[in-house]
Amino acid sequence: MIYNAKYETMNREELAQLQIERLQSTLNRVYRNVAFYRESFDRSRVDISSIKSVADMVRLPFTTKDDLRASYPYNMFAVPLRDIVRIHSTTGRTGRPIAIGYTRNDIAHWSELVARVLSAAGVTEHDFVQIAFDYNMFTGGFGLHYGAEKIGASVIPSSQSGNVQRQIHIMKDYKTTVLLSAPSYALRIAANLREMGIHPDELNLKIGIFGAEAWGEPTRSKIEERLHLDAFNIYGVNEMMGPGVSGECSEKKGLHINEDHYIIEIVDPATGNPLPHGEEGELVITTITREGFPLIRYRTGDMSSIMEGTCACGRTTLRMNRVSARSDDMVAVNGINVFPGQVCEVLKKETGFEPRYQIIIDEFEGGDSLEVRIEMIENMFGDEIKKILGLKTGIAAALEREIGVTARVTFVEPMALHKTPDGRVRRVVDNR
Amino acid sequence: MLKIRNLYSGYGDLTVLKGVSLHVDTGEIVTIIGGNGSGKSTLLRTVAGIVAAREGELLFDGADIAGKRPEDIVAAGCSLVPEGRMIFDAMSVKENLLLGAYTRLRGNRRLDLTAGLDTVFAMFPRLKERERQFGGTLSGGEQQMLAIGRALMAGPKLLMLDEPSMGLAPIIVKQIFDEIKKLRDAGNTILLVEQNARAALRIADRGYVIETGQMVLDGTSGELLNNNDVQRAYLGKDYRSISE
Repeated sequence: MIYNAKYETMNREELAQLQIERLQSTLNRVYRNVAFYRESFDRSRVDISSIKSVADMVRLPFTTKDDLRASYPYNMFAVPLRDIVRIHSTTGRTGRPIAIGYTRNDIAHWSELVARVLSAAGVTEHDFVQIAFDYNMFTGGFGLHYGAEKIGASVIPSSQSGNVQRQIHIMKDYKTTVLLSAPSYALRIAANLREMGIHPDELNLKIGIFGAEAWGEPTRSKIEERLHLDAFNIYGVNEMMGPGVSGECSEKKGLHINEDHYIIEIVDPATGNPLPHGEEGELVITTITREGFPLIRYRTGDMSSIMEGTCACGRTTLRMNRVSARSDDMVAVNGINVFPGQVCEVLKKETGFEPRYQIIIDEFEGGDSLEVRIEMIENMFGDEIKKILGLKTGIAAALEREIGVTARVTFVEPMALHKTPDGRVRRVVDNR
Repeated sequence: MLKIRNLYSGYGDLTVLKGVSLHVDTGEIVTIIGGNGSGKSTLLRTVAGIVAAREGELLFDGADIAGKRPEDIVAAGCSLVPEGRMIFDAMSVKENLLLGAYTRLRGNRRLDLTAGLDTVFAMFPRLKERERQFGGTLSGGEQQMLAIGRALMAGPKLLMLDEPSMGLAPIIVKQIFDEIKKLRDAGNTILLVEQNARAALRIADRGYVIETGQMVLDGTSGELLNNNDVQRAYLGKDYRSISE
């Protein structure tokens, strides 16, 4: 179902007018109210009144994660703090956290945007929607909750915390029809179902809406098979309020972007140059309705591409392909974000040099398994098996301690690591 | 109906509008709110062709009207009810109204304007009562009705109103605004510029906030009423009372 036909099926020319109006007023507002943007635009000698169309945006400087971290907590807010009615934040696991502020209107928009992506997946007021995302500083639980409530569904805020079996009891007792969770969590639910001897047909699940991690078609098939539901992908970014940036419709051919609130660009992650539709690059997002925490050309770190052509569902909005990876290769393993950079640091510390390595992720008994493969070099440890074994346990313990993940550490022969077509070692191999 | 992109205009050395973009769809009331000297009136005067656009696109009903003469813009279907009403004091109410149809009469002197007059009189029965009275003898509220009626005589597709509440008692403002809303309900399209943001947002579908010649916000009337900046700057709620 199309939740807001006016905006989701708007003709492209009208949308272009709406976008430029909203972009210009956002630029005028941030220039007046946010010191960072005034300095940033002045430093790059951009006169914002020269932005006369969405295409002119390429002249504006980017906003990076580091900029947001440096502004922590409140320096990038565009309204007085008393106008802020909510603060969420990123975890800060990879550095300083980022604080995200919302005004009353922002919360209303957020609800609307999430209502759209949930409706696109088929959620209606007759559904029982179980939200197995955390309700805390993370944006997922609350955002999805608002959207589902706005549709008028019966919302079950089961949250991700607590044990999976209790989640399943809730699902069974309340006759949940829609499950919202991370894809890896859905697989854990499936594994537990088997353990508990519950057949998926004893449940009432129809629709599953998954996000917050990169996942692929193999995982989609697995979830659909094991939970007997129709699985949809949604996309959001904490810094963009959370869920509601884009989501799949019944066609499942790309995620429709809420373009009346977000302008999306794809850029080459190395050069920052804009890439044409169809080419994969880093997703850059500009907010055009946000009051509390507007962001101009924000580098999300997520890799995707804009799809060509129109969708059969009737929406006129652009679609993006599922996020394939992150420009920093971050992967979520059992709900924990792992950056190859962190792994590399651990390896350097433990081995005393920088080995060639690879992170391999597989699905294992409903969860994820993580393997870190390290390429042996000649005379690495002499021939002492004991030394190698010691190093193995040392690295595993350090990974657990520093990153919070359990990993199997293996040593492989030289040249045994998976390579990209151009001969480089792939840092992450995700088999999920 | 109306689509404006990157509009610049002003007077002499003074640039008032600095890259304004906005649009008005058929059948909606759109209001522009802003402080004194923010460029609201200049915007309407530029659309009406009274002030020349220096740069930018001005599309009315798909046609470019930038640089056209005011009478041609009226003939194209875009009428302005000017600030201060500008009634001809020494002419009767009826004569004032007939003047509004001037551009239509020019091409066809035998055009029957009875129907047009009847529509205006049905909307504002007070004007019918005062049909033969001089414009200058009307009260402020009646003059505003007359100014609106005169603009309607041109049979506009888009009616632009510049500060219709100016100098009127609150009860009269409410009456006038109720009439404007009825005009919209009857299918008219309205662009309303107003310092009385509360009254304007009460009847408008959408609005824009203009500051020193640039747009800083847009949204539905509900969104603008909820915006704290709008509340502080234009709705008279100060920091203290905002927590009410």
